[in-house]
Amino acid sequence: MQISLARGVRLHIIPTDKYTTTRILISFATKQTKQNSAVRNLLVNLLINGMQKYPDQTAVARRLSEMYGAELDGYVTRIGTVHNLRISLNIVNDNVLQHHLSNEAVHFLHDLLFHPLMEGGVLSPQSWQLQNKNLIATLQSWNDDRQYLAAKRLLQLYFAHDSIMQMPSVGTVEALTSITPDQLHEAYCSMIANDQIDIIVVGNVDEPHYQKLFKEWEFSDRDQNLSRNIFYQQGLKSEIADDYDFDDIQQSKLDLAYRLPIYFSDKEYYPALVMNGLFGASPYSLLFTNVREKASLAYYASSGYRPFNGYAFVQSGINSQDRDKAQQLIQHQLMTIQDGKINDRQLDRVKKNIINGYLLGQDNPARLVERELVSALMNRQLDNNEITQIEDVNISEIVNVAQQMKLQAVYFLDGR
Amino acid sequence: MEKRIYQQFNQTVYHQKLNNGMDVTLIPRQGFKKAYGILTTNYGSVDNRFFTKGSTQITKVPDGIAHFLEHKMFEKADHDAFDIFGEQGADANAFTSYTQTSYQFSGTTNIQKNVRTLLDFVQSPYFSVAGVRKEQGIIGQEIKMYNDNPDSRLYTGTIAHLYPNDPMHIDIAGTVESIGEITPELLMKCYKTFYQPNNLKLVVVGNIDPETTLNSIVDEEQLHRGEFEEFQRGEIISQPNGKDVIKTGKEVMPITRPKAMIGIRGLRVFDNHEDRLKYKLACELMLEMLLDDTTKNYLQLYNAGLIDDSFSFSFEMERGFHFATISSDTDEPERLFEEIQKILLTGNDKLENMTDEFMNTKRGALGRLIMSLNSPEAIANRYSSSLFGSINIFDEIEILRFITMEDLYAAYQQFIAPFRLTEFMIQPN
Repeated sequence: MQISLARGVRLHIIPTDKYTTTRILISFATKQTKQNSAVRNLLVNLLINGMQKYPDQTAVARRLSEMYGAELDGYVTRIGTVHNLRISLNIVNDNVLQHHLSNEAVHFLHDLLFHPLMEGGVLSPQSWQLQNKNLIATLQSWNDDRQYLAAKRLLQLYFAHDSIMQMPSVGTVEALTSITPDQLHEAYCSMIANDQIDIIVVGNVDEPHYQKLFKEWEFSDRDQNLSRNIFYQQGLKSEIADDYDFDDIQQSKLDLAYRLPIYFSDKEYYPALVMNGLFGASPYSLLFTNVREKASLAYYASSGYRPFNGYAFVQSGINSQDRDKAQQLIQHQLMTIQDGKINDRQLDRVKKNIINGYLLGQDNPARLVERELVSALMNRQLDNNEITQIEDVNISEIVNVAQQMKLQAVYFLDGR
Repeated sequence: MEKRIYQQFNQTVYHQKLNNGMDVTLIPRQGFKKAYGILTTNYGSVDNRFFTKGSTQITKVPDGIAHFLEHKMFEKADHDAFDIFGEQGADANAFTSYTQTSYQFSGTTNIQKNVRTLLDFVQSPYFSVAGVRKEQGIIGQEIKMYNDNPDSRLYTGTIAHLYPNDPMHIDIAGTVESIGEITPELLMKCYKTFYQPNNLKLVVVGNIDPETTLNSIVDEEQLHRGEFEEFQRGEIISQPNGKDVIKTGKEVMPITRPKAMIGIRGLRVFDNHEDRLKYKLACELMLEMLLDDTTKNYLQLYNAGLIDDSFSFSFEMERGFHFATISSDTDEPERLFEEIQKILLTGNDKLENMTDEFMNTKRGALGRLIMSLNSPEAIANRYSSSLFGSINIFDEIEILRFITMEDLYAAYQQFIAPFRLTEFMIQPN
């Protein structure tokens, strides 16, 4: 069920008695720009760590403990070109506890969003500099994970220099360093007044009761029209960008990025999904069976597909001296698919694996929430016949999408 | 089948010990489409010295062999067990820890077949020279990957300093050198010793009918009965008083910011499952009351810039040993160590003034356990090993309700007061 709380603000309720919990997600969506991602990342961290009623982390954490260990989370992410700030609260169902947590939970979220720490009319938590410093340290420490670092540098090579995708959804150290209190306040006001807001509730809930609780929130109308250009498009580059760095590590990382201009709402989406599963996104894939199991070159060698961004990638961890061999072997697996040399039994396992993933997801409340949110951002109903769609994918469709994979970037983090 | 009913959750848990000694727990969950099964042998990386039946001489096998064996169980003469699960529409996986090795599947179709496949592939060993050689390359890469990971090095370094003379001082996967010594014969020797049915426990949770599932299990086990060969494990802990803990240690790696971890080694031993669990829960609540994000201690450390959001702590109970770790990225590891030592030393006095907070902390812990019931994996994994006998998560909820402040004082005296600590850090080079 979906109701409008104001223009651009919707409440989605998915009642189910399967879970012991109720999950509430509040999504704030707007176009990503070069400026907004870092400040919104800091903003969400500040909002979940203090509000007028519970002014510091400890007070917030105690309140959550009182609410039977309610789990509060706040983070930023990106879907295609849309920057998405999310706050979620997970609580034990009222019927399990004989205790009405739902009212308390909704009021808590209201305090968090509408009564943040202010000073002189400006959003100003005392600890904002400390939190910003910690956020910067967190971003820096992610680079200590070399798999992450290699993937990040690969995408820097893949995306055009002036692309907004060069700015990560979490911002950069430089962008975080230059944030001013005014920008922070402005970002807060803009998110409340202008963002497309979707509130999604999944659990054993009394729908009219939740409607009543959220109708008391004060929202103004807004127009975002995010669904129109949600997919990120990038033209084909004639030259493959190739780069490497030396690093003091035992295992080298070889990553490749391919343009694959097939998007989530395209007819060819399911063939692309199956092609990716066959290439490297499952234990039944060619990369797993040939690069890992047969050639014994890697512990991990896998592919991924980003259907909102129009690209696919390969990540692998190998010995430095195996670089050429690994790259050839990876490319060869793709060529095998492009040539239509596809084993029916292997294809069958891959399809079943993807279908199993869908079915398992139906037992997971977080996946239900995510699906509803994607549907809301795209402003359309998602297919509910995915299983048939996957089963129906045939070899010529797979060959056709595989042939659209064009290598655009190669990055090697060399532990020599 | 033994049945236990838990009214509050409208839940029945089924338990049965099979004739061949295998322990089976079945937990049907209403509304769920999936079933998740986990088959666990009471055998992990620390079990690398043992006596086989009739032998007075100890058998010593290479470090990392339990984990290696886990990888090799999937390979058969003419197929891979992964592929069978794949054809039956299920996902499969496995992991090895210090004291257990587990094999898992999850799926929504062919559930009975998948249960039988799980039992079958774990009880049908096939080891070849070529297969071993190939796996040395794959696991060699796995070891190198973890060696490059600073959080993993922080953890393994801390444990190595807590137990310098015991098998835990080597990482679960072993080393590139030690796995080089593994042969098909050694794998078979470990298999025959530790994969006997009475050393195995199966837990299946989710969309299952208990009777049908038990029948499938019994049918499959008819095919894998085997004679039971007694064995004895080598001692794991060489110095039960813990005086061999190395107090400080550090490593240098190419990272941006230092990482610090304090390890606390517990000394108590248990012979009763419920006592062991009560003690574990009391230790966990005590650590939460001293250090979690609801405490003044936490806020002071945070505001002093000594910890950030990476701060975490955990308590781990294993067969024959237990320990806690407390860690954070920090610019000042030495100062953080000093402050945490202070918190631990004065912990008992602090606890005495915290009876109000106790109710809240316990409430939070209860709520989190109840939330985890959403996941069949969480329900099964929590009691997949035989460490707590046939206790399950619903029993844990009951036991947790009755933990008192007195239990926490006792846990402090038993776990913290002996003060067997190590301070370990990774520094940037």
